[in-house]
Amino acid sequence: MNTSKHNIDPEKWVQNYADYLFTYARLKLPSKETAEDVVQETFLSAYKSAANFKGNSSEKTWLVSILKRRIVDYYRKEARRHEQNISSYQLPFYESGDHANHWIEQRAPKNWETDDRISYDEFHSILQYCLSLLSPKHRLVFIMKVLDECESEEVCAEVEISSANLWTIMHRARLQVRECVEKKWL
Amino acid sequence: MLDCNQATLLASKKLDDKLSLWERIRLKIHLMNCKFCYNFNLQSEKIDKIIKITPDELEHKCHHSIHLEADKKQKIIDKLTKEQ
Repeated sequence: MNTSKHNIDPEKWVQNYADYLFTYARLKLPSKETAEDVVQETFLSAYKSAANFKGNSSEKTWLVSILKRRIVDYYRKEARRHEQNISSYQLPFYESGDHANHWIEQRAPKNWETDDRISYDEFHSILQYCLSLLSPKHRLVFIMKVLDECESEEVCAEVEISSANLWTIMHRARLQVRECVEKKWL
Repeated sequence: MLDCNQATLLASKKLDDKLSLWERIRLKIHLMNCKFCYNFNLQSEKIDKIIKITPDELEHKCHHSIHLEADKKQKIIDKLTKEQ
């Protein structure tokens, strides 16, 4: 019996959703090749579990939720591969003295002025580059939180951190990404 | 009074979670008085927004569409058909 596949026509499926999923993956992953792999995995995994699709959400929403998990998986694997890689990023604040915990002027956020000076494409590729500079563990936390909007408890459990530490990691990651974008852009 | 390290921590936390009323007030006062943290706050919001962008928003805002190459699509169709 083939009812478990819930009468999916592979060709129609791919024609209907592949571009959307690929665009999504392309926006969240560092390379075209990685995005292609993740989209293929998503279709295969969705196809195998089609029987579990309850029809509560649209087919597209369901596929996107599988895709998101695959994207987080990618960053998870990256974090495992480079476990001992520690971030060497120094916070942009004075450590001591009269100005302790205030911005070091040369590294403080400048005015980004108009938004139209840069195209979306350019900004996005700068952003991808800057994300790649985060330590893999911080990047995983950042991606899980910002991109996948996972619950904080979920993120904390996954990477074995306390919730206070989660806010510290997000803070550091945002400082680092912001500074890198500014350096690359201005 | 918050220092910039604390203020940017709250500005960052605000993007992921709800701040208490007291935290919101202290952050607001700091941002009114500190141009650097004010910029940090705006820029972090912008960066989050770009990371979260969906394909629909991309097409709508930037008139930009991305396609998976035809041979890559065919490869997926072939794989799925084999699974049948």
